[in-house]
Amino acid sequence: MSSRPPRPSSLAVVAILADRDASLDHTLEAVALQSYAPVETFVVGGDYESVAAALGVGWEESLQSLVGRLEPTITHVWLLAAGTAPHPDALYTLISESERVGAGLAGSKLLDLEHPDRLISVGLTTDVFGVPYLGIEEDELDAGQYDVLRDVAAAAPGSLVARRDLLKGLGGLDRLLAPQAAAIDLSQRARVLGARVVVVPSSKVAAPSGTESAWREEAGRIRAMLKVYSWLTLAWALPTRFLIGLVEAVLAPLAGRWTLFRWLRAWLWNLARLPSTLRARRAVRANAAAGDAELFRYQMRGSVTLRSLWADLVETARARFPSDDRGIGALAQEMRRPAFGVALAALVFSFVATRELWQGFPGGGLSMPLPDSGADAVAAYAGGWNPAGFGSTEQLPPFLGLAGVWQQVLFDRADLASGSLALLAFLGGIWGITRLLRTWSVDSVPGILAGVAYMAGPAARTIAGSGDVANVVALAAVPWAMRVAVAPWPAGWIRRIGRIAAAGWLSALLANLSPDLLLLPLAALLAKALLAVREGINWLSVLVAASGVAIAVPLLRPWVTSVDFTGYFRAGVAYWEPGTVLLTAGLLATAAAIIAAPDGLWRLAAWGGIVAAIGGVLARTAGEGGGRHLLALGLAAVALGTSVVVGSAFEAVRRAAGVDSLRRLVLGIGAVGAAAVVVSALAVLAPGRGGMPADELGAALRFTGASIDDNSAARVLLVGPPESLPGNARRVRGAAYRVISVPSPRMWEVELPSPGPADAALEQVLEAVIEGESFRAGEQLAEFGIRWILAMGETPLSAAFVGQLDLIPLDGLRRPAFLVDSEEALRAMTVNGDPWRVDGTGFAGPAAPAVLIREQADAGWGLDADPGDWSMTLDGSSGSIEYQAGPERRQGQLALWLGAGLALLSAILRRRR
Amino acid sequence: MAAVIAIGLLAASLPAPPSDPGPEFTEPIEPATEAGAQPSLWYCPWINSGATRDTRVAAAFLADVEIAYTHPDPRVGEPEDVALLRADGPGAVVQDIAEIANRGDAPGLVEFSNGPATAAAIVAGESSLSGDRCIGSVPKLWHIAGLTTRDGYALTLRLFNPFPDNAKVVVRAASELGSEALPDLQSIDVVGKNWVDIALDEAIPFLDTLAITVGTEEGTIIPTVVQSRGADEASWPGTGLATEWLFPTAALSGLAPRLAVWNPSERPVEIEVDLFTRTSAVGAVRTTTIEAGRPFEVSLADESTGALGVRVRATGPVAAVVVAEDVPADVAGEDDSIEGNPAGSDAPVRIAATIGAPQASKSWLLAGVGGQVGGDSSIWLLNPNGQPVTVTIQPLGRAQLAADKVRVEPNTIRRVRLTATSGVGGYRLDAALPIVASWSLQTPDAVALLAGVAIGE
Repeated sequence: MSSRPPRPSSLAVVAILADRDASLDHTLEAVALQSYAPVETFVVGGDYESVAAALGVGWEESLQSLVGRLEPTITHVWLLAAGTAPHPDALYTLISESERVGAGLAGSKLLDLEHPDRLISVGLTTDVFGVPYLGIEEDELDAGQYDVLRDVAAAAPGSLVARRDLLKGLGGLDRLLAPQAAAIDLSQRARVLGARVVVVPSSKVAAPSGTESAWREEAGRIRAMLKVYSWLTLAWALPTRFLIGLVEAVLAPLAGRWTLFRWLRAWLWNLARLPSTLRARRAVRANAAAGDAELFRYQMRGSVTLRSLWADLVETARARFPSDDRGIGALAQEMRRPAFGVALAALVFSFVATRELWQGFPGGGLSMPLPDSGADAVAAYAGGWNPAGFGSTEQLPPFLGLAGVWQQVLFDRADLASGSLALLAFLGGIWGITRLLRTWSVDSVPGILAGVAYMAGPAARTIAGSGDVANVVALAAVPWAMRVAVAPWPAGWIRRIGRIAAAGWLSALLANLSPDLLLLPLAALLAKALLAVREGINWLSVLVAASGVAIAVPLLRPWVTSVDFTGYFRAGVAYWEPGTVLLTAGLLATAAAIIAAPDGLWRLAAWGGIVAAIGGVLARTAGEGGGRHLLALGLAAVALGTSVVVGSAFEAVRRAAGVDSLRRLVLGIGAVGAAAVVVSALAVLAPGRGGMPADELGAALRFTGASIDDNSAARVLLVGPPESLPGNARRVRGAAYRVISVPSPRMWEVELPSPGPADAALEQVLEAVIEGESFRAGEQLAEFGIRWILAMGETPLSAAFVGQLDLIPLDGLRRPAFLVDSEEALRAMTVNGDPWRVDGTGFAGPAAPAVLIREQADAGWGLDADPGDWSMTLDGSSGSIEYQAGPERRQGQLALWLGAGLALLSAILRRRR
Repeated sequence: MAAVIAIGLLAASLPAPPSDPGPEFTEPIEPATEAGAQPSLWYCPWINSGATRDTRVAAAFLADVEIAYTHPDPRVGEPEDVALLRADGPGAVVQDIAEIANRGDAPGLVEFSNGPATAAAIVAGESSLSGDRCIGSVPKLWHIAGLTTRDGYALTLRLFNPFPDNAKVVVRAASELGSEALPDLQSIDVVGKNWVDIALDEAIPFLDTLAITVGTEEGTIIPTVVQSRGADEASWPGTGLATEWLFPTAALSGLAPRLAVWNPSERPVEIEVDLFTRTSAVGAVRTTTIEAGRPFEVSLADESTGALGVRVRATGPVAAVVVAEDVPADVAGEDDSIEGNPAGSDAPVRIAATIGAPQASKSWLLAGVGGQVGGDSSIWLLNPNGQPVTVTIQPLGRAQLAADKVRVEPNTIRRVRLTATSGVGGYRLDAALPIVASWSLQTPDAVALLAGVAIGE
């Protein structure tokens, strides 16, 4: 038996807040059935005057005008959203309870209109930024568990009753705000005026569970903050809110949400409405009876946005694990499943395998550390100066630009960018292969093992062993670009456009990581389609992949318009010799899966085998002129094919229960082969560099850092066998050599550009040294800014420098080295001999009217540059000299924005319901 | 499966790329001992220009050149003394080193921006004359024969390190008694761009016949020796090894010649000594076996009273030097056949020495010979062929001068006495057949023998 409060002496009117999409009928019906009948009922807002007249209720344009014309005898106004259906005693309990506790504003408990036993909200708790926290689970049943009248930060917008005088003083609802933000705003303003805000759970209102525009709600919350808080609170709360939105915009895509534009739009909206916000603020603050502390009392600590983001990320990560059980309660059960263990092992594997790369990429092979500044890297890629060798205007690889952007996101920390790129590549690659293979019903355990074989198997290790950072990272994007093409074709043209956009931006991402691998997803899917020509779904995936490539190519600008493709594909040597043991293991796995795999898995294995074999062909095309880029493409194909074979072989074993014993034996042999390939991946664990070479170059050049100060710059002439030199090398009388910056060469120096006048002159100097015609090689090398000569390995060229009158052999080093006995062995210095340092791709130092820069001359350096020379005397009166970028910079920026736009478009369209 | 196998076989059948041929050279090309048509650097370790001696460095060249004279300062950190000179070729110039570095010992370098070119250093004192051609190549091991530390002789070994890095030098010696222990000379530090003089007559005294080998554990070194007797002195540089050595002149003006041969190898070497006179050749006047690691010395004073040319042929690589000096008093009384004044009287005692040429050549460049250095100079020609040969003698100087021709009979030597033509600082010699050329310089009190430099093909 319940005790009913005494009938209130108040008189109330009902203001039904009109909504174009909501029906008034059942709301009016429910109002009519109220046990406590209101004095009058009004429809507020919208174009409902005639409708209201027809229904026999009043109409007012706005709540403010309604409150203004109400008689003083009216004590309360019930704000009811159109479309809601209040229980018969909703108004009665609202008024009676609020009067009982002396609340100025009271809200009802909202229940789902379609499922009246489920809760929508029982008052709102917010954080300091006005972001609401409902505190209930999705689809939580109403069992009266929250039925306690209590103070809340805000009343829910569906049903709330306010004292008429208070509402009049507040000026009603802010008409610019979305409903929830308006309710929060109203509640906060009421509290600042000293009113109590409560929720009355015994007042039940059924409300539709629709959602308002997210950006409008976010914009409204920001406006509400601006109106109600003191300047002191705003000084920290506003920037923090801004940063939280930025963080959410960056990380939320990982959870499948895109908030960047919502965030931007909300802030821009507030910027545009700042004058009206300030006017409203003045009105609120002028009558404030309570401080911010009173607001904080009912708010939760921390950020609801960040909590929600973290929860989404965790949930997303968990959802990617192969399990149908998503509940928290199933976690323990999940952890006992092999998939969880294998996934956890893969996660640990990725962390351990890449742990050393958090100190930066090593110097060796094609790898060098990222530039100190991400902005410099982007600028150098997009029409800037290529500082390799003696410098040139030749196009740098797009990976440099992309890595530069990523580095800027990570606070311009090259080490963070390197480590995170490598880790994300490993995680993304393993995860991508798992997702890709799941398309063909390969379970997660085989999928994860296949992913490990993909990212750290023999082929991937060969790529990584060459220091080809770009292709290591790009490997991770390949399965995703394929996955988006092979995923079930969605219904509805909007989502299909989203799918094509997704294929486009993923292909563009892949291409910008490594143009070498752009065609791999398309080619692999084409091979699959050719294996089953009658299956239209395969051809559809080919079409999607082809669309992605077509979209990606223009987004490869400026690289795609600047590169010499003949030279590109012929640079280096494509010849891969796989180890016999692992080759045999791979062949065994392939053969076993093709011969004995059940349920059509043999087709998958055959496809993987063919892709790997074609990759093997590409990786051995040196005789046909194939270079290292074809080698990378071939090796990536081998890695992809091998991973498919490994996944098929393990999956076949998993399904082997229904096959005969002979086939089971064959599958067992295949699984042993596949296991050998996977186990070989453990080789990357001990060094912790993801298979990349040791930092031989960094170690070898460390001595230069001790003997050159930070305010000067020089080069080192590296000699040795070609495989011991970083990047590519030049030849003199068959002996390999190259120049590089010291003490810290960066990734943009890996690939030497086409030889220029400086290279020709240096070759002549070295010829003379070899011929015994030069006695003062140091003096000649100093003119190229070369301060040291370092032998990276056995070469007769090293001995050629012995006996030179101005080269000082450096004792105590692991490798033969010589110091040029000249103070002028600098890359940049004033005419007085004061050194200048390298600053990005430019130079900086003490201001001087003339500075000698020993780089390949180019008009971009200034009008004084003579294109035939490799040293320039330039105006250094500003203290810095920079290369003026060409129009390619705009292309690079355009490509970046287009790529981001595509990603956004795909996310919006694919998730649209 | 068939497709996988077929594509796999295709991949396996693809040919490997041609292996990288690697460097086209196994080690840097050593600077030639000849004067070639390229820039060249000549090391002149024996230079003294101070109160008691003057040194003139002669440069002869056949092309327009820039010549750089560089003399390191022995004080650490002090800059080198450098003089630059531009000259039109062919020509020859003689540079008084006192004008560049007048501080006594000042070993230096002569760099030519073009070639063929060569340099020689002539050190002249009040009663002394010494010098030889400068060094154009730097072998890893240097061998110097013909030394003595017997009573009355002073012997200095100069270790010149013209390079910026320090050198650690090892000196090994052998005498008629066998290998000499030199514990103090096993690790001699020579600072970069500096030199060290070692008094061998104090380190290993009273040895009649001495030969040394100079090598380095670290760095590179240019050694030379200065052998003094009385007021006069002789200087000759280290050489490499060869199986044949040719000396166009071994004796002049009554000096008693001796041939010193040094076999530093680990096996005995047979040698055969041929003599050439103005009229004929005398083959195999001496045939002997030199034990491993032993020097050998033979007096040639008994073989001829006049000028002599010498050829040494050996079954293994050896070093050889000819030393000519006034006969020691104890020897003069025993042999009246030697022309000139024996030592022991009040007359100054003269001594000279020179290295030989390892092979004959059709063209030679003699730097310094002529009127610019003063004294009486002669060119010595050795024709080791069975046919007569006509030699064109082209004087080189600051102006174009007319050439002369002389005929040298088969297997003979010929001396060409030169008049002191002012402005001549060197000679170019050309012949149709390979010959050997050297030159001598003498004053009333002193004499010097200097080797020529062959011009490369």
